[in-house]
Amino acid sequence: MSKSITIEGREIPLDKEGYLRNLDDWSPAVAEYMATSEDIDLTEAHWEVLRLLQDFYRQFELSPAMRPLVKYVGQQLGADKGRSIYLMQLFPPSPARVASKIAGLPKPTNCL
Amino acid sequence: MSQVTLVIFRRSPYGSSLAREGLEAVLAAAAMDQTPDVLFMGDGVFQLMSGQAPQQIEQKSLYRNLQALPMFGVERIHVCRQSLEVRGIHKDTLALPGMELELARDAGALISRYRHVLSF
Repeated sequence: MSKSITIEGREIPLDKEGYLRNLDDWSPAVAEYMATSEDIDLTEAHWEVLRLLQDFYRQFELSPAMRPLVKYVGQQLGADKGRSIYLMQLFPPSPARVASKIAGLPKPTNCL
Repeated sequence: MSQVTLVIFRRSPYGSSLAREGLEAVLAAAAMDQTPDVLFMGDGVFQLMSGQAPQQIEQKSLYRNLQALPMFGVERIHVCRQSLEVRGIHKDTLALPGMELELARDAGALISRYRHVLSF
């Protein structure tokens, strides 16, 4: 099953769960579209986490599940943000899955 | 015995999919709060070497993936000393940031301490 979205005049293929097929297709406009489909209004607090997720992916070449995401955010943004409740408020109902999608990363493989 | 599960990596990083499957098993278990201990032995020690260039065979870097282990709660790995010696690999060339590397003199004794052993 294939679908695609058209953003800024580009046709962007998605997989059946709505993740980007090609990570290079990501742009802030794509993130806005993905966020809208998850009923999320992106604020600076969201962008901060999204950028961090992309850093994580560049560093380790994988998408983090919840626990490593919490740990990484805690290390990079401070302990008050490195808590699951904070990430749950930003990216309900499943921060690792939802934020990975908006950041243009693959679904966390170990997200069972 | 604080841990009940040991995951053993025995194969070279890209010769088969076993190295990747093993890592996925560790990450999945860790995400479920069942972080296992890990042991690299045999050709598995090659997984710990930097300078892997998997782009040429369109694979992701296993070495980079392994560096995510501390994020998943695996901060110490066991490495079979004899496996390094017979391959002429010096411990200091196996630098994994954020991870403590413990040489196992007697891999058999180490393995026997665990109730469950997964071998990849």
